[in-house]
Amino acid sequence: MNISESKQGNVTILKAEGKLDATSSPELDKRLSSLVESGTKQIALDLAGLDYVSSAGLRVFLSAAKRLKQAHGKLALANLSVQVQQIFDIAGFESILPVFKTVNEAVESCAI
Amino acid sequence: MLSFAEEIFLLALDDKQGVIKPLPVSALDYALAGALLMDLALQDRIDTDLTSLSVTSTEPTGDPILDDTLRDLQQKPEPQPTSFWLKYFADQSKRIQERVLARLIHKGILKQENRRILWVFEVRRYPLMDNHEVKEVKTRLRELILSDDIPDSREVVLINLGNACRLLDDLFTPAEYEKVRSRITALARLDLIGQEMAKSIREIERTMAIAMSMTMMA
Repeated sequence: MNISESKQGNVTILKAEGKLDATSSPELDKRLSSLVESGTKQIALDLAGLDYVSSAGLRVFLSAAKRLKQAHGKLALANLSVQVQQIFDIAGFESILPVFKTVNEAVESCAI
Repeated sequence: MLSFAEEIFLLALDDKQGVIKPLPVSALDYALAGALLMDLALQDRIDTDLTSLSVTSTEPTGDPILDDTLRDLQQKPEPQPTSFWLKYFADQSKRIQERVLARLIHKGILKQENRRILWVFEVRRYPLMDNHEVKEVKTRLRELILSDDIPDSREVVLINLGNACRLLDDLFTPAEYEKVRSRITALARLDLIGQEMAKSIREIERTMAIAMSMTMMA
């Protein structure tokens, strides 16, 4: 899995590409944890290039959202592929996490 | 920390009577099976998706029940659907229950009492010796469900197991339960193994209901 980072105002954008499973999820989890620990409060995840998420991957999103909420921050997800959207629909993740069609919308929602 | 199998067993126990509360058919069998798989998933030994369950690490956990489960999961060369493994372990529920009970007794949380009814029938009861763990879990789940907090993965599993066995309504007044029912459903959905487990329990209940109605019509 590839993870790249950019900034738009105060919002950190992480772009994740490839597969998010038991093998790759510790890497994204570590990246998100270190951002929160270093004081980052607004994170948008661009998932356009993510074509697979397993249970282990879903747990990374849940844990990041919880950590950010505890730190009075915000996490927003954007650009879900058809496959990832399907697993989000089945697990009902949109009841817990804000999901947007575009990265700009996700960034705007974090910035508010 | 207790394993999920121990936690669901304690939640299912009527602590005054020392016996398992009345539960939906096969609910405890599938909940224990689900609890083992969910513990292995949270300890990074297995992973699941919408089609299958795969072993991602064969390193023992140090928990004999989980390690036997992990060994069984390696018997099939190809990944199987989660529902296959749930049924496989639910079919061994009696043996799993005995091991979980023995551990709770060994930890000093339960004790075993044998009583005779009408001087003939022996009945085994498991009164709680230490209710600290049960109280703590019930309070944590109640507070989480009543709030809008985001659960951690462990809390999601416990809500899922409790909901599948219909044990969460005990944590609320009837009026409160009506208000939180949709939140419980939303939180319980967040775990894929748990979803499969709840689906299996519902299917068994439906089959039993159909069988009973056919018997009554005959």
